[in-house]
Amino acid sequence: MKFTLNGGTRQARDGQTVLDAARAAGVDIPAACAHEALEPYGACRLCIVEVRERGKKRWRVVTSCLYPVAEGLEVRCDTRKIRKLRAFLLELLLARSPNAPYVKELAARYGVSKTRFSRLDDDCILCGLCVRACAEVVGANAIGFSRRGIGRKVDSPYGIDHSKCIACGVCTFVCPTGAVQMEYARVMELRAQGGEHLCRYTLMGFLPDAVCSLNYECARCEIDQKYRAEAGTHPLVARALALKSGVTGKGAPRKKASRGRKPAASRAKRSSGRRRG
Amino acid sequence: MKPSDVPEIVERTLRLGEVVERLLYLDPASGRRVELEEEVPYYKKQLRLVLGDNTRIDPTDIRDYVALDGYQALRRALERMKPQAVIDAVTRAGLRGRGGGGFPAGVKWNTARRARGDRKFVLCNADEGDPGAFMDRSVCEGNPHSVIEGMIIGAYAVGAREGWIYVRNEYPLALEALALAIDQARSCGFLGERILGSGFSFDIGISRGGGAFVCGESTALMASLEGKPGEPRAKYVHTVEKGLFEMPTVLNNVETWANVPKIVLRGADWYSSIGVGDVSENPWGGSTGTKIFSLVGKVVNTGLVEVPMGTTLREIIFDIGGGVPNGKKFKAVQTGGPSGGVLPESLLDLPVDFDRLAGAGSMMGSGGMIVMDEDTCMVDVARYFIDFLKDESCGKCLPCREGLRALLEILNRIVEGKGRRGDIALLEEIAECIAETSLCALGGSAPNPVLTAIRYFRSEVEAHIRDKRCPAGVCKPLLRYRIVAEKCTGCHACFKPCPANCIAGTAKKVHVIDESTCVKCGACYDVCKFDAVAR
Repeated sequence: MKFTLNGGTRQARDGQTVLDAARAAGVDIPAACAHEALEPYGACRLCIVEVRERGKKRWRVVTSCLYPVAEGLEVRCDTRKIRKLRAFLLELLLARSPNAPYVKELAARYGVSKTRFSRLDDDCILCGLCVRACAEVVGANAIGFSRRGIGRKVDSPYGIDHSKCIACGVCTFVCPTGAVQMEYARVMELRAQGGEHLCRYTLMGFLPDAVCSLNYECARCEIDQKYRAEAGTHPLVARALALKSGVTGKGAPRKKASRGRKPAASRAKRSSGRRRG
Repeated sequence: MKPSDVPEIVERTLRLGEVVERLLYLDPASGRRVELEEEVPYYKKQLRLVLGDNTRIDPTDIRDYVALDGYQALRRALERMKPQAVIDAVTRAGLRGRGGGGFPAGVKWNTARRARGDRKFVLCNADEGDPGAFMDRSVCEGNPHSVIEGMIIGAYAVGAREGWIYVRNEYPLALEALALAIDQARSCGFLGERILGSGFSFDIGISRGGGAFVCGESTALMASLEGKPGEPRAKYVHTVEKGLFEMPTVLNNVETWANVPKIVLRGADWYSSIGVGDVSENPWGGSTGTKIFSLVGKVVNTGLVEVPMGTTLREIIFDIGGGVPNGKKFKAVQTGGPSGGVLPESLLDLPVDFDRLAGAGSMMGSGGMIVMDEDTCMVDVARYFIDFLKDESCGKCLPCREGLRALLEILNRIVEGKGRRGDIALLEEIAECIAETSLCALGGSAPNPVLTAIRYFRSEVEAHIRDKRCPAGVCKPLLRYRIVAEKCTGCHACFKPCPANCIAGTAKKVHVIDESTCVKCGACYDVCKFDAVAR
């Protein structure tokens, strides 16, 4: 279908969001909570654009990560209004996380270097990437949000239960600010289980029944390095992306990777085969 | 009236048919005694379409409701009307969403009817969370069948088989009344398979809210019903097409549903003749029917008030509410709950309907109405509501979460006497960003209290910032209590209530307040009979 982007006519696929379509056309729109392997979320609001639906008079400010392209839709990405609102959002973000290099760089890119509000000094920007990756990519649901409003934070269930965590590390991988770190407590717990402990790639479904010989010192893990080099990203993210593009291409309803335990197993066989070969 | 009055009532009224003059209601405005209940000014100007039956029925007995033409509207719809005819009637009646959005119910139903989905849902929003508002609670507790009948008719119109009522868990009596009413309706054949022998089947379940204000927002409510955290999601695809479990969903508020049987039974023309505007061509063309308001605050008669749409604020607050007590002056009225706006005296003749309130920078909301007198500081009021909202925001999106924190930070420094030049412009800038970029309507309307305070009470805000003065005498850090030497009689009355013992002086001599130890409680100000304490 055809739509107008900053005055020029562009093509978009059915069901594509404005953000995806604009990025495909090479237009830069910032987005802190969007990730190609995850469902759109709409929390950071940085990807705002102005749109006007066909036959309507009024321009509306919408978040492009959630707004579906429609035939004849007009999109403006770089108006004065959008620049002003986005700069203000970045100022708020900077007040929350003034020390996070990611936030500082992002704000600077849009001309924001200081904030007029008191600083929170919290590196977590609550983009929800870790929470959603844990649910959608891993299927573990080991972390979530707790509390409301300004007290909102990423936490394990009831702040204590990390028994669902498989120590796969996707949360730390997707975190843009480094606010999420692998909890050493969980590693210690796994070690304390005694005897032989399963390799985290076995827990992720990539390896059949392999045992960790390194006592969960993942930094020294060769399998980890090999998988990451092979995938160019975290292996679980790579798998989610592969599933997503494969299924969406056929036009079938999109299945969440979180329910993809079976494909994981089959893929695990293949990859382990490759490893041996 | 006291038990000792009973013999006289029996003797004179029951036996002789006389009126006991001295026991009649005394109208404080006119000073006259009023004979009939409907002549009492509080009731005279009300039109109690929805609330009226509350006093006449026992909510635990379905027979009471049925005796008052209950479920006759359902019968009429099922036997004599096609679903589309029901939708047309509701559209022509001009019924708009009572939860605050004011979206025409008929238009919503029509979209849901046409939307494709394996299942369709009708939902009732009974998650009334505004402080001081209890309209929906009263209907659920006092007349639950009116809500249930409305939902059944709505389900028939849109082709839904399942309904859910989402009730605040803090309303145990409403939960109990609704659960009992649903059971009774089911046993009478009004709910369940093949209702009243027709081919239409429908049932209703109850879901208890989890205690979050934001769950009154439609998408958050649906997320909560699905068992997820109550957080809003974007509505670029409307919930009437993809709502609960991604299926077409009609969500209306308690009061909206309770109006539906009246419309079906008495006709769209009757309903649209109440209220203001012309809805015959355009469902947005007016506000028809009645609206229940929860009249609270500094007003003589507090309580639930049901009036035709278009009644002015003055009629509601002064004629029905009896005005401001203790001889104080009216200052403002806050409508629409925490994210509504404050309206000043100059707008008292504003007819209350969806569009006029929105035009004045406030909103209908669910119908909260808080009256404020001259002792209220508008900056403090705005600060209070923002403080409420910053805790009740779900915290998902950046502008609502961080923006409300920023707003509160500025307001706090203003009430502490640390306001800076340019703070008003900064407040407006934050407010614009929150309203424009927030994910849901909570954020979209959250800045209203601040914006209306600036719009209608700008000089008061400026006095806080520029002169470090709170004209209403509320913001403690800005207050100074001192004794006016010419007026002080040295009576010692202010000594006793002072908790800080900061007043010095001997009898018959002018007293002095030591400002360094004064805690600014105002006890001396209140107790002085000679107006000798100034602030």
